[in-house]
Amino acid sequence: MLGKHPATQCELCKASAAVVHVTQITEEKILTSHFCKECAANKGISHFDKSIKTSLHDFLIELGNEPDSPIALDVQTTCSFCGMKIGEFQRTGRLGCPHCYTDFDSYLKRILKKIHGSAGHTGKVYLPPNPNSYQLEQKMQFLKNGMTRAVEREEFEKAAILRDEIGKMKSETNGGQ
Amino acid sequence: MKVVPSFGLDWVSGSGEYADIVLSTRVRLARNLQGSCFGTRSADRDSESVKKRIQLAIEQHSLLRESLFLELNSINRLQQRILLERRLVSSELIGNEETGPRKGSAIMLGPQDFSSVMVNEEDHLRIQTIFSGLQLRKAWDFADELDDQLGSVLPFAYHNEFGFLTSCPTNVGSGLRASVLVHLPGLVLTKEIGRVLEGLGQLGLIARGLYGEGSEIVGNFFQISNQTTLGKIEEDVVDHLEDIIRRIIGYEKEARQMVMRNSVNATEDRVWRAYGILQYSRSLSFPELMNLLSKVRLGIGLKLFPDMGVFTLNKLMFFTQDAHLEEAAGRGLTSEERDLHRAAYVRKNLNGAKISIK
Repeated sequence: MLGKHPATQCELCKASAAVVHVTQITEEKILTSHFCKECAANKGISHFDKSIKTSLHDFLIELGNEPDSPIALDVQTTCSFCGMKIGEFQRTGRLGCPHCYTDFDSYLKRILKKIHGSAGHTGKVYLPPNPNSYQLEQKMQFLKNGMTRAVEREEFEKAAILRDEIGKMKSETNGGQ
Repeated sequence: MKVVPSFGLDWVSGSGEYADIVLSTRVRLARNLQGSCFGTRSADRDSESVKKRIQLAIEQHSLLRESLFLELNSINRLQQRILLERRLVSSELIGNEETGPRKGSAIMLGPQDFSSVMVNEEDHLRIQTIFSGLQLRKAWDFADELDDQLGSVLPFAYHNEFGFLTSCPTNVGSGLRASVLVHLPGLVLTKEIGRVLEGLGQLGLIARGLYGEGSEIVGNFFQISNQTTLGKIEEDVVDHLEDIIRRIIGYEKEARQMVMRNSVNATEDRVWRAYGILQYSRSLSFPELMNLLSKVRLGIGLKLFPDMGVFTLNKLMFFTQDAHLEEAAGRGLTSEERDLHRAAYVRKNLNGAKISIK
């Protein structure tokens, strides 16, 4: 059950599409078997449903069907830039454009929390071409935090690089004013 | 026509830490441009315009312009498949046999041998670096730098709360996937591998086959990578993966010692038989080759072949893939012919390698 598999038929009933993929590893070879949901359940391979999501699609639908979930009500919400509807996203698992993240904001926060265990980015801060003062400030703060972390970890070479980067940014912004 | 014949081969060298167990380290960053639909939703002309924006920006950057920008529709199918076998493009990017690549699909090779960028895959840009052996920090640092360079000339889609925006919500935030391709025959032989793979899920990691998502496990190679991209600092993700990989390498070494303690004769016999088949067989399928190479690779780890390095094995694995064999033959090959050519390539290159038989 590692990763996605190309669509195959269930090995047992040969009728339904296989959705459960089992990789058995023995001394001499690695054997992969494919079953549909019913046959897998009959074979007693039912814990897959709980532990591993077979696809993002199933996961999103399941999430939308949760009782007391406001998500089900949102399927008609449409992105004002690309016209993507939440219902369509639930089917494909792919968003249409960057603006979807703004228009589906509250819905996505719940999904992201479930997928990542967090709904907020704490990593690299982006500095776009021709940044404004807010963006510069954000980037500067990120670099300063990075420098503190590097010092804590005794990664002094890294800390020195960051210090130079911060210095360069400071002189550039002051020079530009 | 040849596409930069040696490009993307750096990771085959067998250098870098733990190169006998870790085949390669890879980092990719997913990025998109502001104001354009994601690849999955965009019409052909949108993808064309995304490609043009990227190409123009690259040409204006003093370092990035050293790279080679290749439109996939400008090269033939064989060359597209070669890029795929070098793991520089995904099968989505080159499309299927009938349709070929979508309009606007391109790859930026370089500026350095270990870096490349896929254009108009699921996301507008997929920045990637690949190194031989275990070199996670290095792979991340160079990907980070290339990301800075591209981001300074292209407006990326970035959200203060969600970070870098991607087509699939499983990549949003850092857009980072760091992965390490490890060879774990000891854990497979001792049947400990199941427990190790199960444990990965709880650590926020995932294992896949040799060719990434959707691929089967062959030759005891496992690709291990981070699963989530939101709420963690990139360096912590990379360090966490490295920490776990080092522990897995430790388990693998213990497993190998156990195998040698419990069944030294049977194990040595298995390794030498595999070597014998590689040396003399006249027809080899790719999966069979991978399984034999796995045994010989284990033999190198167990110091049975003091004069042979993993570079030889990496080369055998790499140049015996279908498209590479066809390129060497200078024509298309049937599946039967490929098996013959594969065996011939292996015989020639293995016998050239220095072996001292004890």
